[in-house]
Amino acid sequence: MRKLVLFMHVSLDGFAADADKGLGWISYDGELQQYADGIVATVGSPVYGRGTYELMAGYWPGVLNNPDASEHSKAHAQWVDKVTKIVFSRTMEKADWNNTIVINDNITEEINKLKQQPGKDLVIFGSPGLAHSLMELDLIDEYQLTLNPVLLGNGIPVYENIKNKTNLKLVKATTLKSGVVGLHYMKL
Amino acid sequence: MSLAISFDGFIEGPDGETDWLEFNEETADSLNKFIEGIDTVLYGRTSYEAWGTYQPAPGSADFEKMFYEKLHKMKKYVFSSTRSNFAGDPAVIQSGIKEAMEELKKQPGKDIWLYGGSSLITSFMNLDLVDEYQIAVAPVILGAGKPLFKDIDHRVQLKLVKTEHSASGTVLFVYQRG
Repeated sequence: MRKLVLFMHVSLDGFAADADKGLGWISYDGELQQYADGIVATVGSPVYGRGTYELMAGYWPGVLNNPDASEHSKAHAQWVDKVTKIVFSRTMEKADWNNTIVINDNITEEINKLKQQPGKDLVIFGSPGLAHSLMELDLIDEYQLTLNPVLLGNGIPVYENIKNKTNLKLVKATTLKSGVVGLHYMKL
Repeated sequence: MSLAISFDGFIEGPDGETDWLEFNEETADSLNKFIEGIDTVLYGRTSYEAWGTYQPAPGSADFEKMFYEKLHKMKKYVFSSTRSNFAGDPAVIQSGIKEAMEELKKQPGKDIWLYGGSSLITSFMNLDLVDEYQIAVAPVILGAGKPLFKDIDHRVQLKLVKTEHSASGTVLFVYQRG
């Protein structure tokens, strides 16, 4: 069965974005990009909340036709255009971006159906609000976090609404030169 | 500062429990190394009242007995604006945290351990007094409890100095102010 994985850049004090929803604190460099590419390679379907989905839908299709985009960007744009994307939203009726499945309700049932389909993993990109709902429903199987060497003080928290104590297993910790640590955990 | 937190950032569970922390030979070894590097311990009032003169039960592990024996020989300071006398007779600082700490850091000796609790840690962080953060992250999600990082009033860029992971899946991160 394929797994539901949360992939998120986080601050040391547990925030997914700063108070202005900004991500400028992420120590992004070539090495982190390469690390993220390794995770993207495990993705069967990216999973988004509505907000993140709209950001992606507003950005990547433009990269496809942008002659100035880097090779890396173009390759990612082609991948994300083709791949089957899943967006969770209570209000969205139809997605404009191609190859998108919109799920409005019955999260647990829909996720369990998706997990039973063949293919690579279901990976949540960003989308802290959706992540909170999925944590509350105890549906996340693995965490792929990149821990950034910064304390933000406030912002959008990574963890919320978790009801049960859950033991994890550390699969791998990867230290990058920037001081970012890639952490891969799975639920026991 | 040196302490252990859960994966979701809590130092204690919802009922104050710390039974999710794993102690084994590896942990004992790193605690022993840590304690050799310090000679002064700083407590908030509540933490001192709970742990300042704590004696492990007779049947406790040897490393735990040794740890507290060494700890209790150190110079101790309690930060409290409401109380000036404590069992074990530690020095008490009732006001002027920043000045007191600048004075203390100037003195020769080993490092100073900011023991806790979380409100003293917050005060120290907001005054930019913490030089190094040693944080052990346990592989468990608690969901609720007392958070380590709370009410920090400004962004702090850090430098990762070291990571170490134990067989049990706990990862130790050492950061210094960047």
